[in-house]
Amino acid sequence: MDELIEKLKVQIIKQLNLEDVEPDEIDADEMLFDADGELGLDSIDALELIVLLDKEYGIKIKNQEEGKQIFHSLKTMAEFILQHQD
Amino acid sequence: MENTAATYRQCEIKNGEIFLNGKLIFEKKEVPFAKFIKGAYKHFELRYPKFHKMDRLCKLAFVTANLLLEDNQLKEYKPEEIAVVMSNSNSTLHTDSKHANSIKDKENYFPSPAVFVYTLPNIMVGEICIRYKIKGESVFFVSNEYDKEMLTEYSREMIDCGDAKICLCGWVDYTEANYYANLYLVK
Repeated sequence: MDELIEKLKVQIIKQLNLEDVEPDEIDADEMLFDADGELGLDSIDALELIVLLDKEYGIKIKNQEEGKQIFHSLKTMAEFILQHQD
Repeated sequence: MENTAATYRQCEIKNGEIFLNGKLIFEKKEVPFAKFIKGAYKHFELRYPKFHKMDRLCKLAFVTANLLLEDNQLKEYKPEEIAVVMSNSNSTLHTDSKHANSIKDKENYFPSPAVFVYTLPNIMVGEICIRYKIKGESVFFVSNEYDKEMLTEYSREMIDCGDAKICLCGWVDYTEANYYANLYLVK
């Protein structure tokens, strides 16, 4: 799990074009879509995360409500990936 | 630049240095642009999470505008009274190339919305307007050279016509090899 979270940090930095953010600066439990949060992600970034899951893990998300839960934090993303990987 | 009756206060960024009204206020030379601009962002405690998502051109414009507008320079004006007149020569070439590279392989075709949104230069204007809640007229010119006289005259015309009371004006240009920003206020 920890290894996957660290991998996700690197992938998210690359996918979201956060070139000046270091992996250590992202808290695994922090809300990803908190407007006042460190990353301040928005709807475009949600699209990017959907693309990331598809491209890197072969997982497609079609249900918006499901997406909200999955992308709550890095930890919830990692848990979802572990549950859905073959 | 010498301030005239119409222009006052300016911020300039070039070669790892930041000048406010001609005075050197930050220096971080011999580092890549990404480290320089993040260094300035942290040094001046700008604290705007969306900064991290911006492309390099927008980061350059954002830091320049923030330093220009610090100390609440726009407080006397309504959002509709503030105009933005900006220009550069390389448009969004750096991000355009990044986007082109992301879609050139038909077998590995994943265009990135986070990159694509920065493939129009007037997004710099948009980012500044969002940050400072500016709702006045705006225009962006792409031209070979920095024609400061034309930009200033254009801003004066807008003010004389009553379309604005103050203009954030100037040039922000970025390529892998070079960058230069010079923003100033006209009123």
